Amino acid sequence: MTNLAIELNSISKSFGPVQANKDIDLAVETGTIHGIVGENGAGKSTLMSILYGFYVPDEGSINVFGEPLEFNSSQKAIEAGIGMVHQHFMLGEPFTVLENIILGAEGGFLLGGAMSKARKALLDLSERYGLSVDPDAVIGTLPVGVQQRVEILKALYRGAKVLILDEPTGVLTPQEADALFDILRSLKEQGTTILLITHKLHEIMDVTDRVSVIRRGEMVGHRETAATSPEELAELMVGRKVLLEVDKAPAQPKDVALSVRNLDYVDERGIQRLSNVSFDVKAGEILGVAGVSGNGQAYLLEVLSGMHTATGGAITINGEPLASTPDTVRGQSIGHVPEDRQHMGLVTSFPAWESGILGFQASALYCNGGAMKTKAIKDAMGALMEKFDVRPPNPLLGTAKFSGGNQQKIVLAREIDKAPDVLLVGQPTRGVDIGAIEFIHRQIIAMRDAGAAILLVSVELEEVLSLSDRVVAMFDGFCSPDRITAETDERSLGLLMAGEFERTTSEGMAA
Amino acid sequence: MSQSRELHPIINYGVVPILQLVLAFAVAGLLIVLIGQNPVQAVQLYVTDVLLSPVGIGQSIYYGTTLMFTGMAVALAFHAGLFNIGGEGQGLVGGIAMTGIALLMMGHFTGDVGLLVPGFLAVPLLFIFAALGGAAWAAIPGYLQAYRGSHLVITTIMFNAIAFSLVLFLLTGWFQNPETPGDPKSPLYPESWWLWKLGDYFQYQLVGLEAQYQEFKDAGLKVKDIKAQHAEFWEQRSLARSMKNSAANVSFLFALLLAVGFWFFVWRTKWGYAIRAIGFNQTAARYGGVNVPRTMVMTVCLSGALAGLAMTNIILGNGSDSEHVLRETGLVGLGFVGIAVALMGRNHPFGIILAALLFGSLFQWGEVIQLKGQFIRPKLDIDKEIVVALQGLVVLFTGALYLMVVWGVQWFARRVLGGWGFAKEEVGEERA
Repeated sequence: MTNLAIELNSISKSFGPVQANKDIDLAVETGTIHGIVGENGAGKSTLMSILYGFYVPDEGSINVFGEPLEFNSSQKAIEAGIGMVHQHFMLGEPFTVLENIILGAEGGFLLGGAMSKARKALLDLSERYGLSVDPDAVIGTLPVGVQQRVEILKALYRGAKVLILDEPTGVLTPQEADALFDILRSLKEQGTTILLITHKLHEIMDVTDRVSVIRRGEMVGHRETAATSPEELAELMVGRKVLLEVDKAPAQPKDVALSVRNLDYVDERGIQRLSNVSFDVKAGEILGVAGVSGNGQAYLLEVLSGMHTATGGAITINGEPLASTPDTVRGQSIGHVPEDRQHMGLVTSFPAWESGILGFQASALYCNGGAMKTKAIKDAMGALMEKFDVRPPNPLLGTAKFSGGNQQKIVLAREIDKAPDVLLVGQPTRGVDIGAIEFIHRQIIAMRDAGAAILLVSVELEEVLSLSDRVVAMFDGFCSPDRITAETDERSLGLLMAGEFERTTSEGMAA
Repeated sequence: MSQSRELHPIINYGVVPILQLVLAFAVAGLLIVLIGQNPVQAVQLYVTDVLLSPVGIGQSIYYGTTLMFTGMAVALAFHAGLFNIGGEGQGLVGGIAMTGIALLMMGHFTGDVGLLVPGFLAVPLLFIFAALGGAAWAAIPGYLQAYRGSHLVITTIMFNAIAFSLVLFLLTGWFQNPETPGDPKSPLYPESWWLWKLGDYFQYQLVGLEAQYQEFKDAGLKVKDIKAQHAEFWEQRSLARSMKNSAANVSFLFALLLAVGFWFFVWRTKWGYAIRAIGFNQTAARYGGVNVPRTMVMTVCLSGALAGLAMTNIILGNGSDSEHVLRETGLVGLGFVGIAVALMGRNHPFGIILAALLFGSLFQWGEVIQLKGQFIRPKLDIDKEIVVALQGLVVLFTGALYLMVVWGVQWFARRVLGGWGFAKEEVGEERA
C-alpha cells in the first residue's frame, strides 16, 4: 500500500448537531482518476474542504503520499501537492492568463522575475499535458472551457500532484466536457492523481478508474468503475432503487398558449442578452430549453415573467400581449419556478408559510383587504406541504432550514397549486437530490398532462431530453430552431448548444 | 444538509440583551473610575433617584415615549433593509409643520384668532401635521435612494443639517415669538392644546392639599407638628409638590397603541410582508410582485412620520409650562438615540418599548447625576454626558459587537453547559 496518493482515515466532522462526515475512509491510488459521487448535501464538499484545509475534522487523519497532512491550512495542502479546481472559477477576469497563474505566488515586490519564470514554466506545462493556452490572453475574453484549463494549469504550476475537481462540467457543453476528460486522461498518463467530484453518473462511468459513493455523510461503497453500473451507483447514492428514466405518455398538444416572436432584450448596461428569440409552447406540451448556463436562459425566464421588459419583439399569452410587471403577469395565469430559488423564488429568512405565498401575498386567497389571513395561510400551507411531500411538513419552520430539494418543492407547490395556464420552470432540479428529482419530474409531467404549457430551462441535458416533448438550445442570447426530442440526441443537441445553427438578429444581420 | 446553531429564543432575546447591558455598564463604570470618581455612587443614584423615585420613573417614561417613536421610526426602515438616521431632521420638520398649522390657528400670521379651536380638535390635527412633516422630509431621501441609488445614510444626514438651518431660519423670522426677540423659539402653544400629563393630576391634587396646609397653619400648627401629626398628609403633599411637573403624558399610551399597530402592520399585513421581503431579499421581493422602489419610498415616509410624531411629545407634552414651543434643538438628540433603541429592541415593538424605557431612564440618570451629584457627599463630579458614552457603549455591544456576545454565550452553552440552551433542532430531511 505504498503507492497511495491520498489516504483518509476515519474522518468525522459535525456542525452542531449535524454530522456532515461520519467515519470516512478513502484510499486513492497514485496515477488514477477516482470519482466521488453523492447527492447534494451528502458531505462531498465538506470532505474536500477538509482535505484542502478549510475545515479541521473532529476526528481522523489524512496522509498525502504517506506523509501526515496538517489540518486547517490550505498552504500546507498546496505544499503537500494538492491542487483544487473549484466549481466557480477563482480567476481575476481583467487579468491575463499569466497574471492569474502567478497570483498568490508572485514571490517578491517586482513582478518581472516571476512573470518570465512563470511564462517558461507555463509553456513547459502546456506542452507536457497538451493544454494549449495563450499566456497573454485576458481571462474575461476566454471561453469557459479554456478558463477551466487555466485553473488546472494554475494548480499544476503550484506543483499539484493530486488534482481535485469539484463538479467541473456544470458549466460546459458536452463537447467541452469531452475535451476536459481528454485532458484528465492525459494528466493521468503523466502520473497525476485526480479526484473527480460529481453527481453525474455518466461522467463517472466515462472517465474514472474507481469510484466511491457517499451518502448522508458516510462512505457507502467503493467500486471498480469497470465492475459497476449507473443503476448500482444510483441505488448506493439514494439507498433504494431509483428510476433513472422518466415515465411519460406522449404529449397531447392543443392551442398555442405562449408565443414568443423576435424577442430582443438589452439590459440596463446596454448588453444584448436576448437576440431574435422565437418559439411557441402549446398547451399540454413541454418545450425544453437546453444550453450552457449563461447563454441568456435566465434573461428569457425573467423577461417572460415580467421582471424585465423586452426591448423588442412580441410575447403573447393565449393571444393577449404579456403584461409588464411580475404581479400582473401572474394575473395572466403564468407560474414561474425561478432558476435560483435561494435568491429569487424564496425569502429564506421567512418561515415556510410566508415563503409559500410569495407572489400571492396580496391575493384575495390569502389577504383580506390589507390584513393577511394568517391562520388560513398556515393551514393551507401545511396541507400543501403534505401533498408535495415537503419534509418536514411544518409551515412554521424557517425556509432556510429546509434542504435544497424541499425548498424546491415549496416553490413548485406554490406555483403548481395555482394551476397556471403557462408554467415557466428554471433548473427544477439544480442542487436537488436524486430521490426528490424523481418526484419533481413527476409533478411537471402531471402539470403537462393537465393541460398546462410548460417552458423548461435546464442545463442538465439529460433532464431536458427526458422531460421535454420538443427542445430548443440557446447560445449567446440566440435560440435555435426546435427539434422533436424523440428524434434528437445529445450529440446533435450539443452542436446547437455550441452555437452551430443559423443566427440572425432581429434586423436580419447574420451574427 | 442545513444546520442551525441558534440559541433558544429565551436565551437569545432575554439573556443576550441583559449581558450586553451589563457589559456596557461595566465599561462605563471603568470610565468613571478612570476619571477618578466612584461608579458605585453613580449606580446608587440610578437606583434611588431614577428606578425607585416617582419623579424619576415619570421622567423616564416621558423620555421613553419620545424614544418609542424614534425607535419605531428606525426599526420600520430597518425592516426594509434601510437605515434612516434622519430622525432628528424629520422630527424638526414635523415640528415645523405642526407649529406652522398651530401658529396659523393661533392667528400668529394674520392676527385673527378665530381658529383657536379646542384641544380635542386641535391636537389630532397637530399630530397629523407632525406626521406629515416628518414624512415629507423623509420622502426626498427615500426617493433618491429608491430611484437614484443615493445612499439613504448620506442623504438623511445631510437632510438633518438642512432641517436645522431651516428651523433656525423660521424661528428667527416667521415663527419667531415676538416677545422674545433674542431667543429663537416659537410663541407658546395655548394651554388647552397641551397633552394631559401626570403632573396635571398632582397639580390638581395640590390645590386641595395646599388649602389643607393653610388650614393647618391657620390653626397654629408648626411644620414639624404637621409632619408628626399628619404624616400621611405630609407625604402626599411632598409627593404632589415633586410630581407637579412630571412630564409623563397621554402620548405614552398613544405610543403603546402605535407599537401594537406597528406589530400588526409589519407582521400581519401585505404591506408589512412586502417591506420585510425587500429587507431580506430584493430580488425575491421583485419576483413576488412587489414594486420595490415604491415600497421603499413609502416605508421611508412612514418612518419619517413616526419621527415627526416624536415632536408632539416634546412640544405638546412638555413638563415645563414655558417650553410648549418649537426650538431648534428639536428632538434633543433622541432621534439619534432611536437608532440604539431599535438595535437593542431588535426592531420588534415589544423590545423597542423596553429599550426606550431603559434609555429614557438613562437620560433621566444623566440629569440626576448633573443636578444632584454636586450636593451629595462625597461629591460626584461627573458630567451628564457620561450617559452619552453609556449609550454609545450600548450601541457598540448591541450593534457592532452583537455577535461577539452571541458567540460568547454559544461557547459557554456548548462547552460549559454541554449544549444546554440551544434551540431544538428541526432540520429538513434529505429524502423525498
